[in-house]
Amino acid sequence: MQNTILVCDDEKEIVEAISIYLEGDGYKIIKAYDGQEAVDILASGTKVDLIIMDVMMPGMDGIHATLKIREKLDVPIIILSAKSEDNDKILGLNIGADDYISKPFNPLELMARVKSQLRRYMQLGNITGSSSQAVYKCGGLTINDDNKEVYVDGELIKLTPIEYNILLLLVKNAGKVFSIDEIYEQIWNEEAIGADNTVAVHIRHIREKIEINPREPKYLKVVWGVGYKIEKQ
Amino acid sequence: MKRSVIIITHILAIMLALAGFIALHGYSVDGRGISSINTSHFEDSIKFSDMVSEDLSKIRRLAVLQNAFENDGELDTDMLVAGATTVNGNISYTVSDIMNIAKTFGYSIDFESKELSYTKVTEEPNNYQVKLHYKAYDPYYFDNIAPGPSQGVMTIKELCIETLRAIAEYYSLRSIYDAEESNFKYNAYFVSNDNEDVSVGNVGENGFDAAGFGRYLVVSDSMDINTNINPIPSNVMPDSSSFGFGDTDGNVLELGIDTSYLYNDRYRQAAEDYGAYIGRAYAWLTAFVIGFIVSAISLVLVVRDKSFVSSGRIYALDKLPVEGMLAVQAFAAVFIYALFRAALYNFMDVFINEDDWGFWCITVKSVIVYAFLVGAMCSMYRRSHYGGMFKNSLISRAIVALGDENENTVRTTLIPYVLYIAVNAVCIGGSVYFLTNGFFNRYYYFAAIMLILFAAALDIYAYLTVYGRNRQRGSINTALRRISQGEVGYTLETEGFTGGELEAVESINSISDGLKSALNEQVKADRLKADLITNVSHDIKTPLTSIINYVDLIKRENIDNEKLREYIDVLDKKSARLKNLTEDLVEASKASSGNIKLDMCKLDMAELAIQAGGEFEDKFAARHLEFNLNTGDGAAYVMADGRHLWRVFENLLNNAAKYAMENTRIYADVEHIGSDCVFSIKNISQSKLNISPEELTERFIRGDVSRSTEGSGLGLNIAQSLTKLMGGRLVIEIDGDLYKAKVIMPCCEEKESGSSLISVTE
Repeated sequence: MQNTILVCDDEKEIVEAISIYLEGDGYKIIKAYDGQEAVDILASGTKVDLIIMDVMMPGMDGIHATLKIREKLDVPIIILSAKSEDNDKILGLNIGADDYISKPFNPLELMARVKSQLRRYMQLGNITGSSSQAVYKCGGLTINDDNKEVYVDGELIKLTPIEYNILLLLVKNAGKVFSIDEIYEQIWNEEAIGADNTVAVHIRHIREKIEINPREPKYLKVVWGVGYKIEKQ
Repeated sequence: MKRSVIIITHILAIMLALAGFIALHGYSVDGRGISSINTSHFEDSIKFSDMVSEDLSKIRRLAVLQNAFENDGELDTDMLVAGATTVNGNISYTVSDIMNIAKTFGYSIDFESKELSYTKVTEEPNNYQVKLHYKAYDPYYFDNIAPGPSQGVMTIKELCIETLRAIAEYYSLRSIYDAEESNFKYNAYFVSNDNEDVSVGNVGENGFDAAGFGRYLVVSDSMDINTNINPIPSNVMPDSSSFGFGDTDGNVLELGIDTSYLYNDRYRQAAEDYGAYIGRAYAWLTAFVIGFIVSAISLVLVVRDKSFVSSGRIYALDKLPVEGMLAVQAFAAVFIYALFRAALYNFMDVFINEDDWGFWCITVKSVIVYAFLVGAMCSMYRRSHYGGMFKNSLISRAIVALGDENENTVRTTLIPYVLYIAVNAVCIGGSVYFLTNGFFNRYYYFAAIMLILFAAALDIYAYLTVYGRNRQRGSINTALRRISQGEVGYTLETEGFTGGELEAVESINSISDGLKSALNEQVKADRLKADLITNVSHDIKTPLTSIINYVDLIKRENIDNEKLREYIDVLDKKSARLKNLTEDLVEASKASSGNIKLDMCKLDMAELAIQAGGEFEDKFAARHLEFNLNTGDGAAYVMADGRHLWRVFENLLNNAAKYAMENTRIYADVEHIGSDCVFSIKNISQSKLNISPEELTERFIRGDVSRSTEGSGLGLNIAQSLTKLMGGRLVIEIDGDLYKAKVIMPCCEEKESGSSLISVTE
């Protein structure tokens, strides 16, 4: 199956570069160079599976275009912007975008995010069917405790037993912040002594495995100076 | 050397002045003070007047005695001098009787020398008592002696001696006043108590022209006194009335003193003595004045001596206003005298003759006054030396305060206050007067009540005014405090303020507005700057995105050319570096301008350090660095924004990972130091650190001058700005190759339980 991706940016070269990467992975690309063009293409009935949208564009900008698109369609939208402020990200995600990548971006990260979004969009609900099993879900993160499997957006992730136990603890108590000592005591069943970065290292490893960009984690978040938690979604 | 000479001069001068003063004091007894020196003529002096006065008394006495003992100008031994009642009945004694009886006691008058003499008698005569009826030589006998059982009684011996004394006095006075060669001329006529005509004088029968003499005194029959003696002898009136003036007619009393002093008598002697005294008095006065001046000058010189001021010491006394200093000195002198007075009196009682007590008292007082005077002068000199003599006096302050337009305290405070006190005093005093003097007088009571009511109304008005002022002051103070605490733009309603407070409020409001707009301008400018940097970085990012992407695309092509691959590698690295730079630049500008949102909450620095250690584990491992974290006594709670503090830690650990020498250990500690929580990280630098810690935190400064490694050079600058924003400090220390960074944050009290930490969400 060949997914269609609409790439919208006023910088032709960027659109071109993204197209090269995505076409390399076998996606079909539709190009638009401002918000209005993207909206028009979608209005013309062209089937699109994912939209990559720049924010600052002449004419209709990315924010307005996203709002307009969301009136009719629920395709995944990834915003790609030079604006890297928290406020910009929050604004973009709040108006209906599914992901936000700030420029300059790592092409590999973009590819990963595109794949992740498409998996979720296309295969939504596939795993949830097996209700009899002990399954914990948190957004795109799914843990099947019966066969000790972890899926992120449908993709199986390989974790060590300790990493798995830590992730399970956090997912079971999604939203709750665990301090390093608490995690240590729960997983190792020993009293935590002193400053040992074992837990912190494990957490980083988990993050590297389940997150697309470990520096900006989506699931396993660091509450600096307090502990770790899985974001409730 | 010179100074000791001056001091000795000073002491001698004081002694000279003192000697002059004591001499003048001893001689100037005529009660006219120093002005008596001005009286160059003896006739004008009080001494002269006193002499005339004495002579007047004596000639009156002489007249009485002449009347008692004389008959036709000569002593008559048959004159009856006393009458008495004795055991033998009433007896009258003549002069000769008395003399005869006196001889039996051994007393006699030698008529040659006219002196009373006494020869011891072997046989004590019969010394019986007599009751006297009269004594001729004492015309006031009956007037003076009130009849009583024991009065008017004396022994016959006493009577004899008294009579003989009177006779001796008679002779003595006659020898003085009858003398022809006398500068003192007199003539008196009157009727005595026993109605006999008495005439005394040394000018013969025909009288004389008293007014022709240099000084004269004439008392007319009607007791008009005509004289050029000044002051008029005080006994003229009583003596002339005892002569019978005013009772009988035809009385005469004329005195004249020849002021050319033809004859060598007591007047000439006195005049010569007086001249000599005046001469000496001038000398003493000169001595006193010279001594005083010299002592004053030498005192000033001693005080001015450099060693007195060169020490530069300013005593507490010198800080007082001049008047205050003088008052303190005066009070101290009085106090010390009062303190030692009792001791002084006891001391004098033992050691000093009673007659000299007054002198010693004055001397001790003078010494005390002198000591404090010297102190005051020293202070005055120091003041003048340092220029604070007049500036630091109450009078000059008052003058300045009155003259200064800005200083309206006097006008607004002092004068109204004085008026207030005065009106109150008048009202209260007046009402008290009316109440105490208005016995049942209703008008007085009414006036008193009106005054009290007026005073009460005034006081209430004053209270309300002061209260209102204080309330206004209070709100002004509040406004000032709030503005100073950073609440710029705080303004006050001008309503309800009056006078100076209204002005103050208006000033505060305009200051506040000014501050607010200045601050707004500042904030705007900062934001503009940050916005500019952000926008520029946005504009850079877009082309940078293309560069990175296309470099990556080129890399994906299979390029055989080794050189080209190398070049592309450089492009790749440098574009990544540019990306880091733009991001750090935005962050640095935001952090330093404070244009950053802080989400402060309580967090544990030790936990953060462990988390950070975990994050950097592989980075450290890549360079074979051993990370040793010591969290000491466990949790170190601080108030901070977790992500920003993480950024600070990240930058510090990043530096350690980048710049630490390979195969060394990195030590990190979290500890409590005082009221602060401190995270410190130490490592051995790979390259030489020939740079100051201050420079390191500046923008674009990097530990390696060659800038060979990755990094924007903004890491420490960002860390410092963020730490400062969160209320902490970042301290960098360099000791040789040992690099040490400390994050110091104020500790957070551990009141809250751990559960509050869980609720923190990102």
